[in-house]
Amino acid sequence: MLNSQYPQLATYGVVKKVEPLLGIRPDSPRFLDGVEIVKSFSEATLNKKLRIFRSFGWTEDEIVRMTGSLPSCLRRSEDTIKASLEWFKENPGYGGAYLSTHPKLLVYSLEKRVVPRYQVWVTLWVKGLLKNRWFSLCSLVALSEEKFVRDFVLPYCEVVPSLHEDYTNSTCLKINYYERAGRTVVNRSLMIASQTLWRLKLRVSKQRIFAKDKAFWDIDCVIPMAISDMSEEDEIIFKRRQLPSKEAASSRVRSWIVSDDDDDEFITLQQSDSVLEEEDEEEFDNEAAIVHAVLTDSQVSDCPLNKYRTKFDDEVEETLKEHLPKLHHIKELRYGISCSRVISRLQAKGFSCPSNLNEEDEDVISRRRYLPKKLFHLDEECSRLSEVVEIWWRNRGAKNQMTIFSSQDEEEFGNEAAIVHAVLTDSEVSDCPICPVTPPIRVSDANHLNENMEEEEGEDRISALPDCLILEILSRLPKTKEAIKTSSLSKRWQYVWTSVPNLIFIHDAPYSDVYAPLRIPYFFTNVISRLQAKGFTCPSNLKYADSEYTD
Amino acid sequence: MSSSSSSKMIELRSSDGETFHVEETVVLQSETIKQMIDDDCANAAIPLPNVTSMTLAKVIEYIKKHAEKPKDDDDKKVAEEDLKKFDAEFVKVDQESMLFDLVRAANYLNIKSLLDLTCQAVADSIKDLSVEEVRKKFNIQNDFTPEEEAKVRKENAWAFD
Repeated sequence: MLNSQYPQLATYGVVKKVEPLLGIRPDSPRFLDGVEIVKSFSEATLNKKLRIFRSFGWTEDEIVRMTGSLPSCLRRSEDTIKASLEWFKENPGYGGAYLSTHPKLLVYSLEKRVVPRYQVWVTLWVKGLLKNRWFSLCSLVALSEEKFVRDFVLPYCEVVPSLHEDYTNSTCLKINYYERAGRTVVNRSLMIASQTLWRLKLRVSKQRIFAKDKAFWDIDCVIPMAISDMSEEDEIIFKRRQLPSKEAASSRVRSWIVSDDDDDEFITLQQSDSVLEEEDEEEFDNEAAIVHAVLTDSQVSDCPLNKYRTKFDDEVEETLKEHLPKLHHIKELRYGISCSRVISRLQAKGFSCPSNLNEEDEDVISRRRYLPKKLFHLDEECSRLSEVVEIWWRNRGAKNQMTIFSSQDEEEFGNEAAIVHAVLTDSEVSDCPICPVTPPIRVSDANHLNENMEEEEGEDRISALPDCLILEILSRLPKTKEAIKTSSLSKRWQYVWTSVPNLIFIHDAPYSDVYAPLRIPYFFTNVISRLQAKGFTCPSNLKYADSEYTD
Repeated sequence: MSSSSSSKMIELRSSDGETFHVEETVVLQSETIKQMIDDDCANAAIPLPNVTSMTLAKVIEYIKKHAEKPKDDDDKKVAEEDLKKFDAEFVKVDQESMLFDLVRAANYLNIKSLLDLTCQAVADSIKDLSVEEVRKKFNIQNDFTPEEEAKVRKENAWAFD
């Protein structure tokens, strides 16, 4: 077989040199790579390169292990190999024993890949942001650029502001490219809108372009295309990703928007699959912001809730503003939950929207299918947690109203949900179906104590305590979870927990969930705003604690 | 005691008729009694029909300790440490029922710090226990049918992971 594939090799005896030189046995799957190496370099050169490894204290076994698993490390120039080995030598733990089993590290560029990523990792490690998650350098280096930036750089940008810049500087990568990516994370609303636009335009090629992992980046390329002129750099990225040319795409957009074609009766704008669910939360945040603006007669951007609004948001808004009136010819428009934010903001500003706008029921199951596993776990928890909060809310409602409504802000906040509801459903605020608040199960009088004070061994003293005292105890448990557990003690206890004055959720994120620190606060606001949208009011003493930040 | 002998003494009567004499400055830690004194109802013995003499003695021990004032700053630190130790020992009662009596008494007498201390002690004692263990510890009768209990657990499955 070898002879037919490499007829010249047999003649030159190259094949025979592979084993003695590189230690790769002919039955090894890497043997052909070895042949390639021996073919491309002279024996002297190879020996020189191998000597470098020996000079760094590698044993023959280690060298054979390395060449045997990844012969192409020998393709690097002598100087590069030397530089790499020197760098690794200075960092304890990366001797021959490690490198020979992880030869990949020697193949990647030292300055542009290994060192910058190592530095990011060290920074995060030193700051304790990775908790006890240990990542081997090799696995970090092997990650694709997108994944690395997405998982290790962007999530920590807020905590370590210089991280992103340092990384891009040291990798000498096009800063603009990543800046835009960073912007997408910071400004998720842009992403929502871009998705909207993207789906509007290029439904046909959606599957191809929205390949799950790529979505994050592609959206980014789409927006400049759709909204403004593309810079040269964008075009390069564009070409690399084999997207349709900008002319073709934008003419399609235009034709779609102005056409009265019957084919466009049903336009489905769905929420993108893999692109983080956080949009939901963002959306809710912003709805509240709009309402806040309406109520206080101020700008949306002034809303204290509106953390992520930037000028790019305005850009998106401008675009939609322009297109929205043109949507009237469409008989039915279904849109994902993600678009409602932008649309409702425009409505709040007096822009009309087609009245036949339907919010598509979110197909939770299909959405979950696309969620990466680690997010799935959180998603599960979200729904269960919001149920818990809801039960608590219902039972608590009446009892707490006085304190809840004592602050004007909160009252406003409660109404916001109704207004948002009204805006979205095109109905009156008064029509908002505020969930009936059931009275608390038991109202106990603190001064009325159980008269039965006689003591008996084996008596259930704790259940005999009045509710208010049981609640004092439950509220001192470290987590509300523990308090909820008491619901199964006996009938006496079933609903007591629902009146605890505080809710403490400590999220024990699995170590693998690198999104957790970023996502959970959003999740929490999400739960609250969902409940608010259902007409519940928000007590001021809701506490959020993340295990990462609790002592 | 001699240093503050000028302080007015208040007479407290427990549910079983025993009387206790406590300095007014000490007893003012109880909001309930403070209210009574403010309302000028404390000329005779104050009846505390909800508190047994055993519990009341314990409460008085607590408020007396907490009424001690450190002389200077150096003393303050030592006193704080001392008080912490005292609190920790204080809630280590022989009988669980005493702890609940104290919770009730602290609530009735409205002594915030004692209520905090005792409730926290109860919370600490149940926080790492399973439902069954809590039932056993406090003699709580499980009056759910197995189906009912399963339903309750299912409703809040999240908490029972």
